[in-house]
Amino acid sequence: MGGGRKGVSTSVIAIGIVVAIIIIAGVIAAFMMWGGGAPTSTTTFSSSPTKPSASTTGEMSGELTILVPTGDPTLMPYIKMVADDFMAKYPGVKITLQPTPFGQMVTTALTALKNKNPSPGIIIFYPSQASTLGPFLLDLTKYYDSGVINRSDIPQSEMLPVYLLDKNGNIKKIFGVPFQQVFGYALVYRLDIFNNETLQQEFKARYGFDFNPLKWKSWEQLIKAAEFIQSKHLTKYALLFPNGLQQSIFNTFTGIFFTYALNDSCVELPTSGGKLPTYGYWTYFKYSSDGRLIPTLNCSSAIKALETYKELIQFEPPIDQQAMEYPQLRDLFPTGEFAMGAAWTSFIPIYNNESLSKVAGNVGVAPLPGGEFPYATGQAPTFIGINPYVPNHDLAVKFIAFLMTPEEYRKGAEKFGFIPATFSGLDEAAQIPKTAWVKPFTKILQNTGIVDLKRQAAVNSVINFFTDLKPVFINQVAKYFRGQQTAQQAMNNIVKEWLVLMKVSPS
Amino acid sequence: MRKIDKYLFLLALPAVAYLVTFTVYPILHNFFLSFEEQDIYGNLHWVGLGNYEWFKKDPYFPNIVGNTLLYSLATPILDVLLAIPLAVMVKRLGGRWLLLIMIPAFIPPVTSATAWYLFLNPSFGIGYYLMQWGIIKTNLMASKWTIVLVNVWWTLPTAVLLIYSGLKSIPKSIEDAAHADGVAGPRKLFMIDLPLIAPQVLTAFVLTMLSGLFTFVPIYIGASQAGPRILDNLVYYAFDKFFSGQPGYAAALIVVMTALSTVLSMFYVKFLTSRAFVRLPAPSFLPSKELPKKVHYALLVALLAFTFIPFFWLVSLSFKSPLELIRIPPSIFPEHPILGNYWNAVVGGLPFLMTSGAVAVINTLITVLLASMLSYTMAIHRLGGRKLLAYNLYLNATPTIIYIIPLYFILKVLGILNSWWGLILTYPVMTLPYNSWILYNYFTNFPKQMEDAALMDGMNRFKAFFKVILPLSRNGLSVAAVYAFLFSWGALIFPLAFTYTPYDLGNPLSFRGAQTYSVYISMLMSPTTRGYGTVSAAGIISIIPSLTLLFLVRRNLERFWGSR
Amino acid sequence: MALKLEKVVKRYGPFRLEVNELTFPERKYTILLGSSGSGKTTTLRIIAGLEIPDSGKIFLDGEDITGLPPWERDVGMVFQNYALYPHLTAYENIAVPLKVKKISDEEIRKKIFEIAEILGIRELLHKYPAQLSGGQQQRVAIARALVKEPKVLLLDEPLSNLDAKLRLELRSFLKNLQRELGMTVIHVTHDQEEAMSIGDFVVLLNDGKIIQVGTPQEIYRRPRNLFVFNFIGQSNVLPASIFGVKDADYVGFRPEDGYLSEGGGDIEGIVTNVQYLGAYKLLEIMITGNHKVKVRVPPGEVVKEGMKISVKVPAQHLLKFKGEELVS
Repeated sequence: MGGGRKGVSTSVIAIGIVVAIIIIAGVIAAFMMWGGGAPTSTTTFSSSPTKPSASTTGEMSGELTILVPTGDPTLMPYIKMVADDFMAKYPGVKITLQPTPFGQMVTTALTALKNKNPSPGIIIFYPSQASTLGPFLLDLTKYYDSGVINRSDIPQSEMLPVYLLDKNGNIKKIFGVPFQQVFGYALVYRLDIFNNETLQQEFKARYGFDFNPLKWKSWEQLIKAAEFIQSKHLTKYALLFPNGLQQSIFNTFTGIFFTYALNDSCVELPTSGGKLPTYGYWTYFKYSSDGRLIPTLNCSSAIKALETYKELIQFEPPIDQQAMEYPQLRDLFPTGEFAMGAAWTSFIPIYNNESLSKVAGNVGVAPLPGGEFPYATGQAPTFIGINPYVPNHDLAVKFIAFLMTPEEYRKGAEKFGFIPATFSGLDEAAQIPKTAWVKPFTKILQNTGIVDLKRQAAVNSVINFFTDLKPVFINQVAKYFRGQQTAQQAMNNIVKEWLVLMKVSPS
Repeated sequence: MRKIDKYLFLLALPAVAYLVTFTVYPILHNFFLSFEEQDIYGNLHWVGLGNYEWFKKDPYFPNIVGNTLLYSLATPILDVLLAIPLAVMVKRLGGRWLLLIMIPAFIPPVTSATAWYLFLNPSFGIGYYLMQWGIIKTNLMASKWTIVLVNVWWTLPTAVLLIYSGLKSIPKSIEDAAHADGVAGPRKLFMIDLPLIAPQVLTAFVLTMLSGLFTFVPIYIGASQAGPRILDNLVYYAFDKFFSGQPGYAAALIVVMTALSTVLSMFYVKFLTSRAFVRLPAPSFLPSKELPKKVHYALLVALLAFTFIPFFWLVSLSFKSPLELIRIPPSIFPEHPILGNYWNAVVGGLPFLMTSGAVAVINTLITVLLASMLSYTMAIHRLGGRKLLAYNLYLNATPTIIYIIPLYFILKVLGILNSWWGLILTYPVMTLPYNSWILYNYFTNFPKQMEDAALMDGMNRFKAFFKVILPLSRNGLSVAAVYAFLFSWGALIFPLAFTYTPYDLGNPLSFRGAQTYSVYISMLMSPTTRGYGTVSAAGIISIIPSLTLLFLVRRNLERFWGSR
Repeated sequence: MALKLEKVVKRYGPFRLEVNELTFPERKYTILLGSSGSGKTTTLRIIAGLEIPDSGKIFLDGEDITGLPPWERDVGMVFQNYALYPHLTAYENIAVPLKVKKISDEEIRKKIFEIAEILGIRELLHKYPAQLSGGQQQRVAIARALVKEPKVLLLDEPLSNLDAKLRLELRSFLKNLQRELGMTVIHVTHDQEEAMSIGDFVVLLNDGKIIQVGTPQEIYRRPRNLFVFNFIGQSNVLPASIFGVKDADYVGFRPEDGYLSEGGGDIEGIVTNVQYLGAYKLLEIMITGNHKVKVRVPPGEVVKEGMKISVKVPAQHLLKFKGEELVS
């Protein structure tokens, strides 16, 4: 019994459907009124939805929420300090920090931006997230042009990830400001080993160059040193080198490749007036004579670089036992089991923290592969951008400008070991003992620049660069590391697959 | 006629209206999105079937579909195969063991995945010893089967519970008849028990299959060791694509995934409603006598070891200092136990705990009320028929990400972002479909005469429902409530998207600031504190409320799943 | 005219209940009799308002109640398994219909004690259903149905869950109760003996249709067709030719209507089985053409298996059937 309500339940469903349609219609109508629901052209810079209000000379007031990723030991304390200073200077302003785990930043930011929510008003992001958030952030070109943000104080190459170009290679939008410098990868090493004079002498006698990373000139020298340490059993492992399969392989190879590409005409590195571009993902592509974007990875320098890469990872547990991704670089060097390591400079405060690390106070820092040939150390600046729907753009810009004053930078370096992104800020940091290690790195920035904007920003136009091309690259390289194919095969496969998969926009 | 049935309709209305308001639009939106592509300026362009055609080009698509099938089939198959002998064992040795066995199912999924990750870690976990002793050669986190293992650990208790409840519900007279006919032990299991409890076995299969389908955290953790896309399933892949500039393709993946699971669910509904009998071959080598109790005890010990080893590791880590956490080889027991991790987890987490607790309790009440009203009318009065049931199962198989952006908009319009109200309003999207479904199963066996009697006593259907049906089904509702609580308490994606500050203790009546404890846990994984210790402590704390509830409802659990 | 069903139709898949017109007389005990699946319970539930007919109307005291939900109908019902609320005591169970009507507690008390007195359950009122025996539960269920003083009391297989002895006791209890209170009672059963013993009227249903309505006497003595004849009591059906009857196809008689005759009877045969049943003996006789006949004889009669005997049936007790139907 009980199956006999067929007629009735149909009518119930009918009423339900009517109600549903009314509700849906209401929701859709609301979406339409509010402006189209899906992210549309409102994010292009010409149509910012709100007008700048408070005049720059008047008293600043208003509220700001800042999305800050947790995970970097110096970033959050620095932003908090600056916010406090800013509020002290402008009592009418209230700033709230919204700490967000690294892995959730894009979710949180994108959800707010796509819904045109005014909060968080300021969003902090990393280079790999730039292409995802960029379309939805405020265009800052006019603030750069008017000098509110001092462009000449920012190393040009840092800007690449926040440029959006049009078809002709002209800058269409700048959606962020680099304010924190992270060098990656830097070589960290245990001072007790490298300052040991007996070892220094023995090494110099055997290999003919100094047992001092700041004086090395090539990958070969780094590898020799690792072999030496391994043979002397000074530590369990000689060199911690990133080969994590989520991200690290893709980042690390860029630097190695660049050092070989410098002498390879096949890659066609752009140079002009003695200025070199710093390496970046852009090295992976060049424009063909007919204007198509093509991969450079089948150049001989790429293959040589890959072979070198494999040599560099032989001084640590094999990749199948433990691949070295971000958390491993962070956690394994402090165990004291490694004599050297390639690391993000943002880890240095952890390595030097006594309650977290067994090598605290025992860490030297040099560019990769060595101080005399620093071309494999690149930069991964942290950016700050503005939500176009925040009511007061000028307040947000003012805060960003304040964040980048040499005074704040100096305090940040002193208190937390924070590394600034501007030339003037880096000069300040180089004078503080805690961050003096940065000195050899600043010269990397000084001699580099943007030489070929169209090419250097081309990666930004490959819409599936991170989602489709990166996985192919990592998995092919991993097959080589595991001995399942040669370096040549790996690179050929990558190029072949990339050509099939690449989606370029605007095409 | 109308006069009577408006009551039924009104009973179901709140839940139906809620589901329609909060799910239909996101699902349609997702469907249309699957025909679009986003360019680098953020604009969407119509590409027709372009995203679907990309499946053919996508080098990882076959692997990802294969992984989805692996996780969502291997998990339930292993679960059911293991759960049958385990359930027989529990029945033999006594239901009191059930409580211990059930524990993993009541641990929030993020905590359980973290526990395994920390356990298998080849430098700082037991993985180090496994590698030293040559038991494993490669990092287990890189293996698809580890993901299945973590899933099985988490879902096996549910399968054991369901099958055990089924076994317990077999009438004694049938057991006696079987024994009188000389059928016992494994032979009886195949000839009599399993055919009779086929519905419970199938329900166990579907429930654990849904868990397998939604595998997420273990993939996220394993990706750094296996390589991108190697371990991904459709949910993970869609999530990744959605938040990296390819929402259209993500939408297409979700369409494929829900289509796949809906087909599977339809088979399930069809089987359950057909009430067909299953016959199993009982090979002659099967002994027709009870196995020695020793065998059962051995099984119990093995199961308890499997259950508690990762759990033990979590406890051990929660007492270690940051320096001890990175010691190689890792210490099994903390050498200098510290309480600092717990101090951080409780004191630092206080506003988060308050939000989680309050929102979870309120959502549990709302969910159980709405779900019971809906599922009662569905089960007893066939409201909505198979179509509504199918839509419900469809919702159970729909990933949460499609809701985030539309629901955020609704909360924004209502002005309740980052408040308790916002979470309370949206949480039923996660809990209502599942609760309606399990309560639907429960109410299918509810004696309809109770309502008839109430009506004859002069109550209308509302009164009959609230004064008679609800009080009489409180055992079932208590179990449903535990599940609703478990989901709400462990929720991560909604609070991450809809909240951004912790509960404002300075202004408690504003109910503003609504980050939950699971958000707090994920923030702890920061390098400054090297969160493992605090995360372990927080994980242990996060288990306490659900385990307390489990303890309170333990007697109702088997009855809840056993009926039918 | 207490209760009337008019052109009521209700379908469940292949099953179809069709009641063209059926009137339940006021203050009488009416039995709905039929085998399972005959539609008797459905009819009862339609009267209660628990099922809605696909078409047709129901009148109570001349008022059309078809559209009224159960809780607005003046009808009480006792369910087959009593459907007592397990979480309430007997007292609270009985109080439910009164509480719904928002009657004062004092009044409720009075009414409950009154009805409990009638049903003899005063000392059980504080107990929970699980603590009561089947018969006690039933009385509580009846009390719950009666306490709101309904115009019609519906009983759904009220005796089927009780053991045989209790069942006999309760039959007369129900009948007396109905008489005492002057209730209109509709009682559903599949037990024809129960139907005959307590019904003022019997409505015989088969396969969704009413076959015959009448007093027990009418139904037993003047069955409308072979189905009724066979369904009610024990029966013998033989080809008419055996009795030399010309104007019918079959003839039938009840076992108690035949008697043994010494010198030749209407039929002759060999006794194949003798059952001693206390008040009488039941003989099974094999007659020509392999037909079996049952005849009831006084317990003192000396009959043995294998004996050859002859049986006589008085003509006035012989029912004649043409096809299935009774011809008079």
